[in-house]
Amino acid sequence: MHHSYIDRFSRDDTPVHRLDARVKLVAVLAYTGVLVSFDRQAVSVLAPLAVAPLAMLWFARVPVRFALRRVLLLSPLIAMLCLLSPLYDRVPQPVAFGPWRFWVTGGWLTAASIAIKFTLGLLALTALTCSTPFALLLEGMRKLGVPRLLVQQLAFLYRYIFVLIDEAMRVRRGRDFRGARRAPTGHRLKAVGGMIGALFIRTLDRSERIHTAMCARGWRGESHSLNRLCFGLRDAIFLAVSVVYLIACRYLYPAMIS
Amino acid sequence: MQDVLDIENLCVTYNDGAEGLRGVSLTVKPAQRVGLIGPNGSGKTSLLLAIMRGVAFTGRITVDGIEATRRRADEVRSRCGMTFQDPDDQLFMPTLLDDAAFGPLNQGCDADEARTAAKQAIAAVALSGMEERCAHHLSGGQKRNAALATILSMNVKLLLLDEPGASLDFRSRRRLAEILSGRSEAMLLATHDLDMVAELCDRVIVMDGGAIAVDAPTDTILNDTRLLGAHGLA
Amino acid sequence: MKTTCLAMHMANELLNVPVAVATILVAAAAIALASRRSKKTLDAEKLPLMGVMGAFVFAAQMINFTLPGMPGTSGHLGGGVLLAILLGPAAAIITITSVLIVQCLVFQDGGLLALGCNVINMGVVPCLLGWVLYKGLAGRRGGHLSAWRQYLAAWAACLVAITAGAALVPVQAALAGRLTIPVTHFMAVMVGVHLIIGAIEGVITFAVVAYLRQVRPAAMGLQTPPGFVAGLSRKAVAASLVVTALLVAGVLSWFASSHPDGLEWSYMEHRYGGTETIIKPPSDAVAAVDELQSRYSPMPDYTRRAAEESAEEAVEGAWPNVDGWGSLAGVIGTVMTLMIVYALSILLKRKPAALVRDGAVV
Repeated sequence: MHHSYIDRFSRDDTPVHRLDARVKLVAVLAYTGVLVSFDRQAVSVLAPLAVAPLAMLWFARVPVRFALRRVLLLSPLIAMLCLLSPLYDRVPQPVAFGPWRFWVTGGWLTAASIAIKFTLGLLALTALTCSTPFALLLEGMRKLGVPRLLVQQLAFLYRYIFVLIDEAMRVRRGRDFRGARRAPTGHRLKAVGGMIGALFIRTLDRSERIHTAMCARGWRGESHSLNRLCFGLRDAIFLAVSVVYLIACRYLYPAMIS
Repeated sequence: MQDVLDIENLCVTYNDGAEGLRGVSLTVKPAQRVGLIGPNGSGKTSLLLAIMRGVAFTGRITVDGIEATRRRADEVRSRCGMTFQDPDDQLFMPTLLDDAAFGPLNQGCDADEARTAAKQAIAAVALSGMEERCAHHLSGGQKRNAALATILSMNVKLLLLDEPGASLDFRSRRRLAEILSGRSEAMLLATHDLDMVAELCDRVIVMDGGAIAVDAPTDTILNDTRLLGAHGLA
Repeated sequence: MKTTCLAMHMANELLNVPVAVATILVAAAAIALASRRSKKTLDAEKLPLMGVMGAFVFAAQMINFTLPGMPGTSGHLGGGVLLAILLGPAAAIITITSVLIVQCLVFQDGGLLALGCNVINMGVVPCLLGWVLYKGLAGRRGGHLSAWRQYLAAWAACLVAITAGAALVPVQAALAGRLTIPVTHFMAVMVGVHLIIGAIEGVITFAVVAYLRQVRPAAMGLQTPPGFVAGLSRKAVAASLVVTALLVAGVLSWFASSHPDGLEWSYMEHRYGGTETIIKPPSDAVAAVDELQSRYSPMPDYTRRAAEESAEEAVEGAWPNVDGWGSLAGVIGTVMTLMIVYALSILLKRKPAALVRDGAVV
C-alpha cells in the first residue's frame, strides 16, 4: 500500500487542475444533486449527464480505466439492489429506443438506473479528487464554510494516514510471519486486540509529540493558511457553463424527449 | 556580544520521579557549534526540550537575553528551533511549503512573507522543487532535511538538533553535514555520530547520567579514547 | 484500496435531494454539538490532533481477524464504538466523520450526498448509542470496573449500536422513495447482516479493551468527567433497552411474516386465468412470494398481467404513448459530444517535459 496511490494524478498541470478547488467542489456537488433527483426508473434521460464527468476526466488526463476500476469495487449495497430489483418489481414497462420497442420489467429499469447513477456519480467524484491536490481541496472546503476544526482534522488525518497504515502493516506482517494463522482462535483474538491496542497507544503518544512540535514552532491554537486559491475568469466561465449544462440536463432534455 | 544560550543549574525530574537532569550549567556563544554526546538516557533530549520549555524544569535558562519563563515562552521559542528524533512528528502539514511556513505564520508574518521565508529555507536544504509535495512522499533523508527547513524559515539564533543523522545512509549524512556547515546560527547538536561532531563542532559536551561530565574543545575529547570509553561512547 | 469493511455505506442512489439535504443538516448539527462538547474535555489546542486518531481508524481496519472455521473471510474493526469507549462519544463522532469524509474524497468510497446519512448511521448512532450502552452495562462499583463485565458490555454495545445504525439505511431510503425492494425485506437483510458484523466487531473491541485495561488503564479513563455517568446511567439504560427491544421485536416480526403458511401457498398455486385478483395480499412479504410464484408459471402473458397489476395499463397491444426517438437522439447526441470532447482533450495535450509526475520517490 503505497503513498503514490492517492496522489497519483492530482499534481498534473491541465486546465482542469488549474480550476479553483471551490468551483470544482460546488460543480460536483450540484451534479450529484441533479443525478440523484431523477426518479427511480430514469435511464435514457441520464445520457447527457455522462458528458460532464468523462470530459473532466479526459481534460484532466486521468485514465478513464482507472476511474472505472473503482466502479467494479461495487458497494455491496448497490450490488444487492441491482440484483434484487428485478426480482421484486415485475411490472412491465414499455421501452422505446429509436426503432426498437420492447417490454422490460420495472425492476430491470431500476437496476439499470441505479447502476448508471452510481457509475456517473463515481466518475464525477474521481474527476474532482484526481484533479485537485488534497491540500487545495481542504482550503476550498474551508473557504466554502466547512468548520475550521474539521478541516484541520482532515489535514492531520491525510498527513498521517500512511504513517499509521505502514505501522499497522508492519505489525501485521510480524504477526503473519510468526505463523499466526495456525493459532487457536483465542490466541489470534488476543493478538488482534494487542496489535490494535498497541497502535492506539502509539498513536496517542505520537499525537503528544506532534503537539510538542507544533508548540515549539509557536502554535497557540490559531491557524493560518497560505491562501493558494484565487478565483479567476476561467473559474467564472466554468461555473456558468456548469449551471447551464445542469439545467439543460435536468429540465430541458427530459422535456424534449417526452 | 551576549551569549545566545545561558543555562544555570538546570534540573529536570520525570513523572515517575527519576532525575533527568541534575544541575546542568553551560553557555553558548553566537555562531558557536556545540556537540552534545553521551550514552542513551544521559539527558541530551531532556536538555534540548527544557530549552524549548517542553518539559518542566527548575533553574534558569536564558536565550538571547530573554529568560525562559512561562510568560515569555513564545519569545524564547521564536529565538530557537528544535528538530526531533522522528521527522514524521514534525512534518504535519499537507505540503512541505505549508510546514516550512507554519513557524513564520505563527510568528506573525503575513502570507507572502511566510511563503518567501519558507521557499528560502527549502532551497537552503536542497529541496527546491518539492514545495508542493506531501511529507509522506519524501524519503528518509529528504524528511530530515525538510524538518530542518521548518525551523530555518523561522530565522532563529540557535538550532537544537536531536539526532539529525539517525538512520540516514552515508550520503545523506554527508549532505546534511554540508548544509549545516554552511549555516551561521549557533548550534547544539545532540548525536551519536562522532564524525559529524568532528566535522561541524569546535566544542563538545559529554553528558552522562543527567550531568555534564566534560566540556572541552572537540579535538581534546574525540582523541581521548579512554574518556570516551568511560562514558560508553567508544 | 478498498477501505470499507463489510459494513455498508449509504449510497447516493438511494437518496433524493430533500432527504440528502435533511440528513446533511442533521449530521452537521450533531457534529457542531460534538465539537462543543469535546472542547470541554480536551484542550482546544489538541483538538486538531483528533485527525491523527482518524488515521488510527484506517490503520486499525488493516488488522484483520480471520473468522474461526471460515477461511478466507475476515473481520475488521469499524471503530466507532471502540473510539466512543476510549475517547468519549463527542470525540468519536468527530473522528468518524473525518474518516468518512476522507473515505469519500480520497478513496471515492461512499457518495458525496450520502455523507450526511453515513455520519448519522456510522458515526452518531454507533458512537452515542454504543457509549451509552457500554456505560450502562459496565456499571461502576465505587470506581472499580469489573473486567469481564467491561468486556461483555463492550461487545454488547457494538452489537446493538452497529445494527441500529444499519437499520436506519432502509428508513432513509424509504423516505426518499427510491426503493423498489419492500422496506421490510431490506430492513431484514440489513439488520441480519449487521448483527453478524456487529458481533464480530464486538469481539475485536472486547479484545482491544482487554489489552488496554492491562497495559495502559489510563487510556480507558479518557472519557467524560466523573459524575456525568451516574446521573445518565438509569435513563440511558432505559432508553437503550427500549431501542434494543424495538429492534428485536421488529426483526422477529419481519422474519415471521416472510414465511406464509401452507394455506396461502396452495391457494396461489391454483389461481386460474389471473384476470381477477383473488385476495388482496395481506402483506408486502406475501406479495413478494406471489411474484416469485408467477415467475415460475409458464409463459406469462404480458397484456393480461398488465391488466391485473394496474387498471390504467393499456391492454391488447395498443402501444402506449411512448416515443423512443427522443431517447435515441439523446444518446447519439451524447456520444457525439463525447467524441468531440475526447478529440479536444487529445489536441490539448501538452508535452510532458515540464511536468513533475508523482509516483516514484525521487
